[in-house]
Amino acid sequence: MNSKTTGARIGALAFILAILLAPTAYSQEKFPTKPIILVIPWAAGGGQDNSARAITPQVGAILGQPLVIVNKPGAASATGHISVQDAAPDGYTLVQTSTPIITLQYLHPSSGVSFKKLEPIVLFSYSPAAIFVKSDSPYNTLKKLVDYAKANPGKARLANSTNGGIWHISGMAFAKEAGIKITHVSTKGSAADANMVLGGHVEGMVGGPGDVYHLVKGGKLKMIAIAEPERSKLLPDVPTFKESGLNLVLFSYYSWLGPKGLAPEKVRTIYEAVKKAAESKEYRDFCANQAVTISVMGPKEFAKFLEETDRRYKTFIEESGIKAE
Amino acid sequence: MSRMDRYIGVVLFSFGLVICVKSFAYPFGSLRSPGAGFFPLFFSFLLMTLAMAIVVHTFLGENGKTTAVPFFAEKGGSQKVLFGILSLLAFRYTLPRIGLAPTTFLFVFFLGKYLAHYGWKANGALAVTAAALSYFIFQFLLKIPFPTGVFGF
Amino acid sequence: MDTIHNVLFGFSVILTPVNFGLCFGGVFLGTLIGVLPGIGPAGCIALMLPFTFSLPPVSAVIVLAGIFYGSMYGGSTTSILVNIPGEAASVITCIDGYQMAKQGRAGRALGIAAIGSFIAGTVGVVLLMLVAPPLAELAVKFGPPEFFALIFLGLTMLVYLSSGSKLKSFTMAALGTIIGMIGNDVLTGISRFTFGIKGLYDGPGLVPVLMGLFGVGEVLFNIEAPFKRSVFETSIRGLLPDRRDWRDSMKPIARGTLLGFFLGILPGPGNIISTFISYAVEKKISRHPERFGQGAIEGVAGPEAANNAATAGAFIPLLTLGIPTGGTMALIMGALIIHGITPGPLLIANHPEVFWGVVTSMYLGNFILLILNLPLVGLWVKILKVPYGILFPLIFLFCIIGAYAGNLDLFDINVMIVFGVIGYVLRKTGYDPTPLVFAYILLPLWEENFRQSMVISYGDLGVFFKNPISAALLGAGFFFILLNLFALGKSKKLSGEMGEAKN
Repeated sequence: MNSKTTGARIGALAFILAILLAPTAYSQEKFPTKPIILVIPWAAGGGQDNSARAITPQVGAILGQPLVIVNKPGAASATGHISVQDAAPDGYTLVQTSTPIITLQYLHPSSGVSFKKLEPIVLFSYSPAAIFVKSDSPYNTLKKLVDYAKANPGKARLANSTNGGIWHISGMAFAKEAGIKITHVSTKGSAADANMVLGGHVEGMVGGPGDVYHLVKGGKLKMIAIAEPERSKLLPDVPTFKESGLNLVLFSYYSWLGPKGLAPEKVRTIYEAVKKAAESKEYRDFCANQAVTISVMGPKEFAKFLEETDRRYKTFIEESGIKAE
Repeated sequence: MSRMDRYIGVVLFSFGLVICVKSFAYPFGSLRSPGAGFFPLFFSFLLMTLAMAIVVHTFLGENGKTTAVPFFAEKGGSQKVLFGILSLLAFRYTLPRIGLAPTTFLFVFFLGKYLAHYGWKANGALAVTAAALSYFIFQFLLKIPFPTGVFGF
Repeated sequence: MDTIHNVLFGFSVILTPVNFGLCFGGVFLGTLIGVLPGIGPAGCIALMLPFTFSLPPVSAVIVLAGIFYGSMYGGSTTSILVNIPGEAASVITCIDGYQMAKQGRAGRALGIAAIGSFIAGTVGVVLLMLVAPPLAELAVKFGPPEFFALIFLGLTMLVYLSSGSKLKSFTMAALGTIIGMIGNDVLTGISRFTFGIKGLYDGPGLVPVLMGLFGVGEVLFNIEAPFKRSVFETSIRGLLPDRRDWRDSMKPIARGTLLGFFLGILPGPGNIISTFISYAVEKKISRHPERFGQGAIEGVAGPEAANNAATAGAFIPLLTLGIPTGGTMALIMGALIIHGITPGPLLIANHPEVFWGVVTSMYLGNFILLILNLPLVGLWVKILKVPYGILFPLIFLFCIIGAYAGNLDLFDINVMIVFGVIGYVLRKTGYDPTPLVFAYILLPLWEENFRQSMVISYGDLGVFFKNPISAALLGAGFFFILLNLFALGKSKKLSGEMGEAKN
């Protein structure tokens, strides 16, 4: 044997090996190969939980692997977020969440929760802020409420469900834009808010349509304004704040993030799957029922959105003097 | 009232004091918007007053004589209680490392051996039963997610 | 006669083999959960939620609702047998129930609890059926001032619950209040007294505290002595309630049912508060109040009826308005939402099969529970005969798991251990942990409602007197205080005279 033949043999062997190994290398890239855990930092039965359960079956079908929902409530939702922040960035642990990844930075700095420690994947739907009043309330339009508030500074009371949370911030933004003084009352949840409104203890509440939509459909509550850029297709009768000259676009959203450092290809895979799942009939039915708007933001857009809302909410929380721990 | 009450009174008073001091860090607020510090301040004062009253009472009652009841009436009582507490702590820190069933086994076994003084075989049987039961009821039937540790279950 | 039609319709929905089986499964699981201390219906429902997705909506709710009211039956079991509350609504049952067990009357206590629960649950469902919508309207009239007044009334009555030195009891209550303030403040979002410990952000938690104070504390107290000393009176006197027990319990059950039902409709921990108030009412009305705390069967019958009726009442705001009264109801609401049914004012009209199916399943469920629980009484009583050396590690085990299962947080076990040590010390030194627990549960609610009242009344303290409901409740509370002072003064005078007579 001379060197040329040996070289040719080695070359051939290398070529064959390359062909054999290439599919293996490819399959090592294929993701996911086992079930993905989706952490929800709240107890079961809440808005995030319900939405997750509505969309994960479809996402699982598209990805070929099921998504397992794990509720990790506690520590004002910090526990669940931290568990994902600390998880390995292999794409098999994700979190579904909303504004707390921004607000917890300022309300509970020692919790260590921050959107900066997470990798944005996708935002797939949202619930815009809205003001609800009792259906027989004398302030059944936004203008009447604002007029009342202008004439009686501090007398108009709006309930919200978490101090420093997105609805509280929305209420404060509303007051600031309209130049009025509102008394904000924080309660334990949207059910408590609805109770206060129905019982006449407050003039109205700020919340997402999803939480109390059934009371609107049932004729007990009226939505007098919604913080969307244009009228929602689901709620065509509800005027936007913009129509009254108040530039307010605020919402709670449903989004997935992973631990920081998650590989871009995996981010892409998950994003594409969720995007498709969000268009599925099952998810659309759920959203129609809950007055949740479907709108998909990819990783880059979502990251930018987070930066921007972080700046906005930071100033708000500081200005309003909501004290952190 | 006994001497123990005196100690308890002092402990409670100190606790109340710590809380009282910490309450000042929270805004007192006004009637229009009572703050987070209002109730804690009031109740820590109340606790301190009541604790002080207990201490004072131990001096006043029966011309200042206090019944000196030994805390641990039975011989070896304190060791048993300490063992109980330590075994609970051991459970809590062993659980994430080896999972529910093995931890239960060790827990029941050692408690039975050192506190109830049963023999090896009886303890072993009891511990295995307890471990199996806890796996069946809590992990299988109720599906409560426990940390799985090195053994994987 | 519409109602009868609807009830028949409801039965047609649930008497299918599948739904019947699910109802049975639900209440059975619920009883198991109730018996296991610490693991509450909320946790179990949350875990079972995914399994109900493949079921039609009615079936899903039947199972979950069954778990809920089933757990109320089982909750009294551990309270009576080992002085550990199955969940917060069973804390009161510990007081007299455990004493009855120690006297060999465990079977009677368990029997009365089961039967009282059945009566209360069934009556509750009937009331639910007949007066749901108008009651829901009434319930929303309860705002922060009314709750403040209601809790105030409860607090004034709770003075009756403490045994022993009043000074020590009030001290325990003050301590409980402060512990209750650890954690997130609802109105301002500030985390109070957490000292940077993440696990305390939401407070120590009710279940870890209960497991520690009552479970671990009691066991630590008992293991100090040699095990030869039996903890329980081993000769069981009578397995089921006798005629005398019946006679004593009937009226408390009736009162407890009404109390529990109406308080259960209100948002918040209506079933817990109703047990407190039922006990206090029974003690006040009784001709021999000194029997309470020593094994008075009224102290078991009334509160157990109350907490079962309260579960029926809790369904009213959910099914008629779509407003859940608490965490457990919110879970059931979530289950409906996932199935595409949003409970609300339109539920009865749009989905009558859900409403009537659930209501009739509750009849069936209560019946199944009675048949299930009564024979079990014999079994439970036998457990008391198990040597304590075998029993106590299991009690420890159940407490640990109960503390953990709520939030799946190992830190809660630490909390339980700390409160276990506290509970042990309290028992050794003669301090009653019960006022601590009541204050722990009630005072933070009192504070929250006071501050919310002040915000919505713009700082006007008169708001409590301007609203008719709160004024009435406050009035009743002050009346009780006056009564107490009067009685205190009278007894002092008496003992003063006795003192003089002695000398």
